[in-house]
Amino acid sequence: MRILVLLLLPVWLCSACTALPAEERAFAVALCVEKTAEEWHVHGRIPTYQPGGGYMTVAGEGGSFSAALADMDAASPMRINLSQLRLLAVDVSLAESGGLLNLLTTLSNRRDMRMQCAVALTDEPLQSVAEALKPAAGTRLSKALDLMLNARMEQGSILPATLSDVLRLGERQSPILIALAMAEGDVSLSGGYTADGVYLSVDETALLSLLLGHAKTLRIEVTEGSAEVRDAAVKVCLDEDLARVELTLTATASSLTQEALEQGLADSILGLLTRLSTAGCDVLGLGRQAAMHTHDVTQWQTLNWPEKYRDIRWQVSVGVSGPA
Amino acid sequence: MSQLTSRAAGEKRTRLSLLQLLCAVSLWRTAVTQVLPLCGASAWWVTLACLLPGIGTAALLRWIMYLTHTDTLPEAFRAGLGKAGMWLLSAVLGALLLVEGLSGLTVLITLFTQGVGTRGTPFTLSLLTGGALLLSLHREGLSRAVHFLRWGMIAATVLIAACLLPDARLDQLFPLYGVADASVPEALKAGISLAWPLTLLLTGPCAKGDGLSRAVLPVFAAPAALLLLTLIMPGELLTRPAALADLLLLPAKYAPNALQILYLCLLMLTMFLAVGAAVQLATEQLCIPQKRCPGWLPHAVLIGLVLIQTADAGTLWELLSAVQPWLLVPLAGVALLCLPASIIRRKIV
Amino acid sequence: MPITSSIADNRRRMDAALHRDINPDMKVRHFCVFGKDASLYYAEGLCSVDFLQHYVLTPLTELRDAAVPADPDAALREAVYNADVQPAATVSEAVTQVMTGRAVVFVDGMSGALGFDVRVFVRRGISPPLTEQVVLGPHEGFNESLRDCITLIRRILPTPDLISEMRTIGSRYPVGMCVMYLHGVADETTLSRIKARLDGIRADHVLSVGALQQLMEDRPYALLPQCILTERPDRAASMLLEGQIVLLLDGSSQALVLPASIWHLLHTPDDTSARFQYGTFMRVIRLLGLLCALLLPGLFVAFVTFHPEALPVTLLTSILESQASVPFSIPIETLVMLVMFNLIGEAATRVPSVVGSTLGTVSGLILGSAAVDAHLVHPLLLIVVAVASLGSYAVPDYSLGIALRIGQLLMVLAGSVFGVYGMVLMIAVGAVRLCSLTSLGSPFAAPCSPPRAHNPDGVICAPLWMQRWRTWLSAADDRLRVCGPMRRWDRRKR
Repeated sequence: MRILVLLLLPVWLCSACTALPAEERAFAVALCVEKTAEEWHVHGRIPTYQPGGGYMTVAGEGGSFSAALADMDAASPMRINLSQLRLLAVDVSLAESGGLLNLLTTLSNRRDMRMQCAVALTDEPLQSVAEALKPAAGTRLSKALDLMLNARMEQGSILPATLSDVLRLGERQSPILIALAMAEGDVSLSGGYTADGVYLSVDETALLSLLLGHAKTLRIEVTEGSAEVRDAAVKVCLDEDLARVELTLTATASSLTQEALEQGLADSILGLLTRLSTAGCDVLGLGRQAAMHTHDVTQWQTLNWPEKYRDIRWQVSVGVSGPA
Repeated sequence: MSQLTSRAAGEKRTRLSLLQLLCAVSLWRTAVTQVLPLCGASAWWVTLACLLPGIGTAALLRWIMYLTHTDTLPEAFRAGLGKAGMWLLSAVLGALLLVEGLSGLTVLITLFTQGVGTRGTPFTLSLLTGGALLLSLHREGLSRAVHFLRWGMIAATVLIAACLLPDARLDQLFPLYGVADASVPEALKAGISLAWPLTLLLTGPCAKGDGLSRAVLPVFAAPAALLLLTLIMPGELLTRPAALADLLLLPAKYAPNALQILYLCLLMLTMFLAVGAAVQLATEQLCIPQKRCPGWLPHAVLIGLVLIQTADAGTLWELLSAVQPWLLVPLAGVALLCLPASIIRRKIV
Repeated sequence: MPITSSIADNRRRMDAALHRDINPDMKVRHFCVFGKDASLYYAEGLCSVDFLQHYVLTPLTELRDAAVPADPDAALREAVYNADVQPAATVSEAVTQVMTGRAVVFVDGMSGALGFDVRVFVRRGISPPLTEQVVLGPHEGFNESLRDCITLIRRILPTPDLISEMRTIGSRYPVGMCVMYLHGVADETTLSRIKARLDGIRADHVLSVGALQQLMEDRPYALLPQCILTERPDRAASMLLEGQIVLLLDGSSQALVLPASIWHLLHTPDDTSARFQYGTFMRVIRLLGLLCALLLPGLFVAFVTFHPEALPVTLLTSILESQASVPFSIPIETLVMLVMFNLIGEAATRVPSVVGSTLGTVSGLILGSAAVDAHLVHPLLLIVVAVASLGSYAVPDYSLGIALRIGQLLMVLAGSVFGVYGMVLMIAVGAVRLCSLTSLGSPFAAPCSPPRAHNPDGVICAPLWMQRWRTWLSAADDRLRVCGPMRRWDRRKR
């Protein structure tokens, strides 16, 4: 019996073989998606795998996102694989129309999808964006993108926004996606977008970076001047319809007095949070605190948090220590 | 004699490892496929609650062993109800283990076809898995292999948990009751029998009680894993309608690719060994009254389970899901049948 | 056929049995002793002619004209100077004695013959073992002489409890062998099992210890060896102290040790000769080498073919760029490279030493830069296969190393057709098969699985003073080697 099994196993194994050699796959490093009135357009940036390196753009279009992807796959010299994706750039109009989360969910259901790719929104033409994605001399595009993303995050210019992070926020927090722009033919990442397409400037993104704890040390600009701050600690409390934000930090170099810096920061944060809450973007995740006081999901849904959040009042206090 | 005692202790520990693996995999599979889709974020404590009927039944069976002054369950039933009792117990436990083996094999094949995306029909993959299982069915070898690989499996589990833990958020535990009112009772009903393998564990090699608390630790792997899942994923993602394969892949869905592969490998290895364990234990149970087990029986049973895979996987799974909540009933039934006889016997003695 | 008292009959039978008419090696010397005709049979080359002349023939011929004593047998023994005299009652016994290098004397009127030990064989001196080299520890290895091998072990364990039971094996062409064990330490059940198996072997001749291994193993079809073959007397002695039994075969320079476990195949004398920290480190490295040897090529193939998403993109791109110009797929390349490396290993073993350096140059050139430059092979694959091969050579047991190389190929096949999942299934099946192996009934994966009481000397090499117990393979009532602390002089309280 065992000898028979041993003889038959290779036959069964081969019939189950699903290997597509890696050299017959095109590993897309960046994917750009946009939707016009009638069609979806996707542009993928893939390496050419020649000894000298180089990248090419493949495009596809279709009546649905999946159809567009399939079209791009057909146009590509090899089968597209998204397991090494670094950047997903989406047209901001898709976010404004409310289709962003559906798109991200569809992508997350692909077996080969890399969930750690960064999600960016842009209002630039996506074909140009795709063509403009080139590696710096001597590096690979994937490495260049990784370095750029890490550097911008450290500077506080953008917030971490991977596909995995965005989807796992669920209904209790709103993501802030990366804002992608073109400057002199090069792609730059700075600022942010809400999932509904509301733009945030670099300064606003830096403030959010402080508030969300992604950056502990930052150079921030307020109306009257600028300051270098570090050791930021944030406390956010929700009390009925009042949200209290307490921020303490140390200023190491500031062109302002301590009081001026505190007031400037508080005003900036208040303005930003009010704008975001009016737009329905629960960036600080107050929904999590609201959910903790509910019994079950029905009660949470009855609460109608997105509407309640728009009417929330903010109270911001900033405490700065260190040299003025 | 001490050499024999130490050898017996060694064999007992390998046997315990096999039962622990079967329990842990069975609980995890049932919790993820039956309980989690119904109640989402509350699945972890619902699973804990669902352990109670299994613990209760096991306690009942241990009480019967105590009343009859026996070391094993078949002896207890023979003492209480005679040979018919032993036959009854063997039939019940054998049938339960066969259902367990069938469920495990179905899920494993579904994972191959729909989860991993392996080319090939379910039947071809069943032949492949069955062939590999045939090579692995060895009375002592399987339990020793599980004991041998246990640290590797534990290390992989800890590594996966450690990699997922940084994404955990305590607030995602709330609301504690999880999904809507009606779902928790449904989930409890679906999972009420999920802990039936506990009876094997608690009345098996640790029947004497030494190291019992350590022996049942793997049972809590499923609730702990579901708790971690709740912490790393919001509840609304946990109750999104999903196919069987997607439910199994859910824990590592948002993890890096390498971690996904590690999780899948661990899942396959544990499920593969658990199916082998179920088949082996089922044949042992069925042969207890005859006191000897023909060598070909486990292979024949396995071939039977593989042939059942020719049926439509969806229909098969629906049938198994319908049977799942009732698995504890026959076991509790035979226990209640034997209990009065054991009490009377104890009084007489 | 019993030896008769007629010298003519005995001469005729011996001449026929030894094929003297066509076998010029078989010599006979006729002489007189006690006034009777006598004959001395011996095999040229197996006897020392000097010993024969001086210590056998000379004293015997001096008794040419002596009166016939009441007990000629005793008289002959007293007359001759040899330490070892064995009687032969039958012609076949006499023939066996001649073939083992003794000089057999027949005397007219004496029923029976006497065999005098005048053996001297051309044999190799004691040299370092070829396949089990160590840095620290003795550098003596067994040779092909059974007596020398026994002597080497006896020097290490000079105790009367060291029993060496001599026997022959081979029904038609017997060869001498020795069963060595420590009385009271070796388990009696194991010993009787070994003897029963030896008695149950029906082979016309057993050429080497490797052949004996195949006739003794529990599962000869299994990939892993279930016995230990060792060239080192110190290793054999340490296993005797653990209650294992050593079989020596005349003409083989290895000893066969039974029963065994997988851990015995991974330990070397270096581990105990060096400090325990170094021993542990070396064992961990060896274990890593074993895992690399078994899994690395398969994992490489599986990841590149099935799971490229798990590889860092820089590595993946590098692989794909160079793979673009290679005509073969990664699985084929890997299999070919593994076969080539095994071929080099085999050729290196067989090649005469005068051209050994040429082989190294040729293989390095062919498999190294030339193959890569010709885009026949991927450079990273070369490194992977080289590391895997090094891992297999780091394993101390030669048989286990070959088993690993076969397992490596199986893993590559599994990884090629089913990716990491295939390898996982293969690992599961392999683990079950490993754990189901037994060595003389003792589980092969013990003390790991099933757990057995043992010395803390598995993967971690515990300090020597903590290793106070014998293994589970020894007799149950003699497990404790040392009572009390070994370092009695050390007064520090721990």
